[in-house]
Amino acid sequence: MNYSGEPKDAPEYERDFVENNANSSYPKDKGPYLDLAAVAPSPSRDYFRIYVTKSEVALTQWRISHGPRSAPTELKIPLESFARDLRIPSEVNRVFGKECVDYITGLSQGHVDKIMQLPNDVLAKIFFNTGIENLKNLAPVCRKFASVCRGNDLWKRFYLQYGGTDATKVETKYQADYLSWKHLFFINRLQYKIGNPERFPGLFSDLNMNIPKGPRHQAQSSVSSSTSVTSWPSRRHLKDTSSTRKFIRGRTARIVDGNLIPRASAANISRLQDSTKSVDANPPRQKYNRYTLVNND
Amino acid sequence: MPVVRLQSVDGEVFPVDVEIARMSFAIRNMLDDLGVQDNDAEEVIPLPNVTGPILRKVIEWCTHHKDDPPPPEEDDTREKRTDDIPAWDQEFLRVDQAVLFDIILAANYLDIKGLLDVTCKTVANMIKGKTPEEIRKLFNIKNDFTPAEEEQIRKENEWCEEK
Repeated sequence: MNYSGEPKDAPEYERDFVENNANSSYPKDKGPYLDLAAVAPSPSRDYFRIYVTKSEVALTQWRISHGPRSAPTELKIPLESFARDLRIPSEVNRVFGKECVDYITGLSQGHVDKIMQLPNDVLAKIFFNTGIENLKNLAPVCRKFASVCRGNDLWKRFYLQYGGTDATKVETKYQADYLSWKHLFFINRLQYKIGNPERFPGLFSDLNMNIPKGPRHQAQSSVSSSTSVTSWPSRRHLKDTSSTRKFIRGRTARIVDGNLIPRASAANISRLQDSTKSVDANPPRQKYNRYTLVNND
Repeated sequence: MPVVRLQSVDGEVFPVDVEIARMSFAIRNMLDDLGVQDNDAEEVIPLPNVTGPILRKVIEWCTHHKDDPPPPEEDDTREKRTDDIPAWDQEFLRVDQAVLFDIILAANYLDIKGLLDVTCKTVANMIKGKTPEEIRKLFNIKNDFTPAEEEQIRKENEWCEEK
C-alpha cells in the first residue's frame, strides 16, 4: 500500500488522517515572524510597518506631511544583518519600542520563539511541571502564557495534584464546566485547609492574634483569677487599643463616634440618637453601653 | 523483525522496527486500523509534520527506550518531580532550543508519551525560578501586553500558595 496517492482515492479513515494533518495546528515554517503596523509617536504622524520573514526585515514608512505628498518607501535588509544596521533598529525602537528591537535581534541571531508555536495543552503540561509557585512568573510573560495560566488544562492537573481525587465524577465535571477548574481548585483547597487547620498554622493567624483576654478568659487563667473575676474590664481597657475595638466590633457591639453601641439593636440606636440631642444625656449613655457589653460577653 | 518505513515531510525514509514504531500511539492506531500484518515490507507511512533530522532524533530516543515499561495511563495525581530525568535523556536533549521544541511538537503529534514527558520536564527545568523578563529573554518571547495589562496580570497572580 502506498499513501502518496490522492486522498480522494483513499478509504475514509485514511482520508481523515490526511485531512486532519492538513488542518492540524502544527506550525509551518511559512508566513512572517512578525507583522506590525503603527503610527509614529507624536508630533510625527508617519505610518510604519515592520515585516520580518525568515530571511529579511522590511520597514515600510509613509511620511505624512504638509509638503508635497510622498509615496511609501520601503527599506529591506537581510535578517541576519539587523543588529548591525544603522537605520532600521533605531526607527523600530522609536515607533515600536525597545521590546520589538530585542525580539528582532533575537530572531536575527537564530532565537526563533518556537515555544509560542506549541499547542496550549503542551504548554499546560510544561507549566504544570514548573509547579504552582511559578505561575506568577509565567503569566506576565505574554498573552498566550496568561491564557494558559488561566486555562482548564492546567488547573485540572493542579486540582488532581492537590488532593482533588474525584475528577472523574459526573458532579465534579459538571461543576468544572459551570465554574472552571481554577475555581474548583481553590474551593477544594479551602475546604481541605479548613478541615485540617493544624497543617496550616498560618491560615487563621490574622483572625486570632489580636483578641484580648476578656473577663471570661481571665477567669480561666490561673494566676489572677481571683481578682479579675470580680473586677469588670475598665473603660480604659476597652478603649485604648485598636485591637480591642476590632474585637468588640466583631463580637457584640460597634463604635459610633467613639462610643460603644450594641449591634443590631435599632431601638438602642434611635435612643442613642435622641439622647445625643440633649446636652446632659452623656453620662447615662456611657453607663448603658458599658453594661450592654458586659452582659453580652 | 517486521519493519515499517516512516517517511518524513522532506522525503527521507526511515526503516523502523514495528515494535519501536508502535511506541507512537498515532502510528500504532494507524497500523491497527489498517490491519497491517507482518512481512509487509513495502509499507511507507508518511509523517507530514516531522522533518528528517527530528524524526531521526525521535527514532533514536524510541530505540533506546524500547524496553521501558509503558508509562502509567494517568499520572496527574503523581507527585510532580522534574529532577528524575535519566542521564541518557539529559544528554540526548542537550540540543538547540529550536530542536528541543521541534522534538516536543513531534512527540505531541506522534503521541509518544514518554518522550513528551521528559521534554516537557526539561523545558520546565529551564523555566523554574526565573522572572518573567528572564523567561522572555530565554525564549525570545515578545511582550504583547500594554503596561496596564501586565500590571493587572501580575496582581492577579500574586497570591502565594503555602503548602
